[in-house]
Amino acid sequence: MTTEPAADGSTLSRAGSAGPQQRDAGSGQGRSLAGLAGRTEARIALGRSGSGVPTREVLRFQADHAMARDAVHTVFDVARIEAGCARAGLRPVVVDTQASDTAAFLRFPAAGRRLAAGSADILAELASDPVGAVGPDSMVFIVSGGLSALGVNQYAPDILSRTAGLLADRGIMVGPVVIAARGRVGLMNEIGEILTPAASTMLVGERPGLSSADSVGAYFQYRPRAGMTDAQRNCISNIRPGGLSVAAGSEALADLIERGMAQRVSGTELKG
Amino acid sequence: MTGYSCALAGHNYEFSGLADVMARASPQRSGDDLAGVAAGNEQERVAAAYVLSEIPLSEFLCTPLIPYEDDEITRLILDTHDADAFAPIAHMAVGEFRDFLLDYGTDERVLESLRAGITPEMAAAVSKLMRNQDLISVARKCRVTTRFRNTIGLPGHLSSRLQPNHPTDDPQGIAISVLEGLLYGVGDAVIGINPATDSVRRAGELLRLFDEMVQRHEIPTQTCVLTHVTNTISAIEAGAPVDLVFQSIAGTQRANAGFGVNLSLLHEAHEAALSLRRGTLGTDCMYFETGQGSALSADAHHGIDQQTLEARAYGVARHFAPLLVNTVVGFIGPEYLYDGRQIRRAGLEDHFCGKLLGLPMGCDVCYTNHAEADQNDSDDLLTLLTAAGCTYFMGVPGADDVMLEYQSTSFHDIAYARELFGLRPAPEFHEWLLRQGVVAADGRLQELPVEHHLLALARS
Repeated sequence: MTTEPAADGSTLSRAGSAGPQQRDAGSGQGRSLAGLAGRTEARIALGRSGSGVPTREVLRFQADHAMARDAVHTVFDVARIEAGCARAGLRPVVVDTQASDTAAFLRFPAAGRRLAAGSADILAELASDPVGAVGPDSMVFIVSGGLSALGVNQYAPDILSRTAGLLADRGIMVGPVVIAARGRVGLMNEIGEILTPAASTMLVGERPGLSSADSVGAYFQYRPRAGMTDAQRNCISNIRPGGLSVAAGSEALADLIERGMAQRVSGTELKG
Repeated sequence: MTGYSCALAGHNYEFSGLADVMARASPQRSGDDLAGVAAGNEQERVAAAYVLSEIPLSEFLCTPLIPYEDDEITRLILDTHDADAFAPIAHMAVGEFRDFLLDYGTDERVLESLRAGITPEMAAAVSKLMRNQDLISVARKCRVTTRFRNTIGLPGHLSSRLQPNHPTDDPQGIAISVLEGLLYGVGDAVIGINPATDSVRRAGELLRLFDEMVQRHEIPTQTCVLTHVTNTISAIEAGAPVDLVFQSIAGTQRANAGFGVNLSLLHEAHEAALSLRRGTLGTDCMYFETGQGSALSADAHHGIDQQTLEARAYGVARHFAPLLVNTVVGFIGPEYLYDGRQIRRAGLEDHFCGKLLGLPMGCDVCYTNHAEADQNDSDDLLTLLTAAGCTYFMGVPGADDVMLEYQSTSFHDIAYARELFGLRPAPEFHEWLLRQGVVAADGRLQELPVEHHLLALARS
């Protein structure tokens, strides 16, 4: 019997796992339900001990929850994102938000939507750079660990390089990549105010689920500025190997950005 | 606005008005800190509680926390207040009201006769002076019974919502979760799904899927697709088999506007569902969900603490004679309820206030992965609320909602709570479970033979 998480990072497979079938081998109901387990992601056919959850399943749940909990506290790997930018020929700019630690980030969402004072200055300097780091037609990436840095650390460099490549082929200029450890999606507004790009796209770690601690979300916003809401953003969610793959997610993101730049709009007004 | 003050341990604490006293008297929670309305320290919290204990209940009728002119919920609460029902407690201050609620003489009958005289703000106020055991013991004395195709809320019974959510709304995946839930005796409150795709067409498909299952197996329960109320109205117009109208609601007009609803729209939806006459035992056909923090989340909190605003949402709910109401207590995240302790307190408060106001109050005992909570915290609140006489809980396969990505209570948890307290599902549903052989006469779960008709899905 397997007693360790599978090599792909997913936890113990439940479909076809030995637990429920073994335990319920003599039971018609148990056998029937175990046969259905492969047809849904839901945690069915767990079996029961009395009315309680069997040990094996209690532990599997705890393993998944532990992964999600640890994901919330995973350190955002700034150096790795910077290296990814360098490989993709993109210019990284590292900033801080007003959320000074994870607890503050969780308790005060507004702090994750605002730049720390020094960081606002760094971006203002960049905006006034005569070399023209941020052109009026360029698209700026923002990368943040969000509520789970696990997926962003692993996939953001690849998403950046693939998407930037696809955009270059379509004649869309990609500006610098702003890297912020504890950022929320609303941070796009303040960065937009300072850099005034045509559009921005934020790659951010999504709230970890029990079965998906490593999801990356990508938010697109045309002419980002103060006061804009989720209704004026578009989102591609669940980018991760077990969800929307990095390749497919990057394709979808490039398509979304291309449409937004062509229509000069984002959010609910953007046409499919 | 009248100010209040209280001297405690040599320090004079001042409060700007009723809302300020209410907020600062509230047990600590992160949402009130976030809103900037919470007490600055523990002594100030107690000073506020002293002040609150001496405020007459009648003050809540004279001093609306949100002005009458500005908010249709304030208007609803004050316009429907029953002065005759209020008369027996009209002379009391909030602290006396707490003692009165705990008194042996204040029984189920007395509490029922007072309901229309108690405003949500009065319920919230007294809850702030109550310890967890008070919230449990008084809620347990309240009895609220509702009916659609079965009877929910009778003494000795505990109901459950079967929540078969699926990330892509796959009909087979949903049906499998429904099947297993039924085999654990879950689903008597409602078989209700949060659709992954929120559209009229999808709602219609899922409603027909459920209706077919309920009819084929003659299950005495009701079903619901938890889509926006405007979608449900459209689905009704398109001829979909709608049992219950669902809607998330909050305690201020502006927060409800953020949900895209108002009282007139809820009234329209209620009338539309009533017109279908699908209930066989009763006409209670509304299903509301609430949760502390929703008003602040919509930037519509008017400087009022989140628990008081939650109680005002119950003022909205009770106007529409709902079959079911539940607080989704830990869903909103740690910026509103930080950890298991805060979630536990909020769950007990919400259940108490809902019951005192006459609602069939259930609870989605739950947490998200960025909150400081785990299954042990859920076990605690589930057990406490069952002791308090909670009307129903959620039944989610393995407690893991694979669509909404949060942890609720499981099919196993429902069986545990019923067995621990000797409770049965709604009587009509229980009879059905006995006939199917799902449960034995002693209430324990049974295994079905492989040829049982409920297992047909597994043979396909």
